[in-house]
Amino acid sequence: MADFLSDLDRLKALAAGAKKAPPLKSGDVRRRIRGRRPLPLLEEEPPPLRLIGGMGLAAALAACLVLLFSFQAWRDLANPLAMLSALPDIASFLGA
Amino acid sequence: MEDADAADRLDVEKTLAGDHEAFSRLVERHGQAIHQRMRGFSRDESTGEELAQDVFVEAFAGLASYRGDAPFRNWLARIATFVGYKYWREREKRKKEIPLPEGWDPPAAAGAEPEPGDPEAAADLLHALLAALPEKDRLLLTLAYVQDCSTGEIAEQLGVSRALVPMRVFKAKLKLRRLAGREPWKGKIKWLIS
Repeated sequence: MADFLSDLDRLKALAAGAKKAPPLKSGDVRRRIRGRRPLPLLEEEPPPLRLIGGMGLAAALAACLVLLFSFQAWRDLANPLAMLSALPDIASFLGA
Repeated sequence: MEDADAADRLDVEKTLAGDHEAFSRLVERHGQAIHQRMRGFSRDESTGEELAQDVFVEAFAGLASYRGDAPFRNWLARIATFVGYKYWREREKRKKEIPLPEGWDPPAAAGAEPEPGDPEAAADLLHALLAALPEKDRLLLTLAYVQDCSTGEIAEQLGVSRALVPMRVFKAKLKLRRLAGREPWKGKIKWLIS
């Protein structure tokens, strides 16, 4: 193992002699900066907040209505006697 | 070093005020070091250069977030680590999406046989050896073993506690040694350093 450790270290020492990277050209970097695609969050138009707010409100209202109706339906199903007792009232209302 | 740090801070301020020449000076001052660092993430020359440019493009875009409480080169090194790691992840993702045909060899391995004692071949082999490790171990060893970063620098660049770094590096080194002790790596290393 000890012999092998030195092999790895010798490989690392040998690799350190590999040619170094050349300096970076600032002109190339500047061209890249100019050609950079704008980040959507930074440079595009902000999303229409009012529309999003309105849609959110409508969705919440719809969810409330669905919940309310499902609760009502559940109550009616759970209590069929109440439904039956309401029938005469409905019949008289309809003029039967 | 303090003079260089002060010059960096001044150039950052000037860049933020709209002086693009000041940013060019920052590129000239740190370009080679960053380029060298990015060679640790890719041994391909053009990819290394492109990654180094990416680091400066990202730095320019986020320059306003540089608070100046640490040297500019440390801030840049952090971006470099982020860019390099992102490159590895995207490369892995692409590899998964388009699987390589069986028996395919990476170009470096399929190229001409290197001579024993060739530093370029040694750097390529070390890079390939690290690439065979899990991504996080590879990143730690690229910073600690190849780029000789200190514990503090690694902790700062990875955003982890200083106390965690030595143990993780130690574990990653054990994995590297275990891997390098197996064939075909063992034979290649022996032959190259002979």
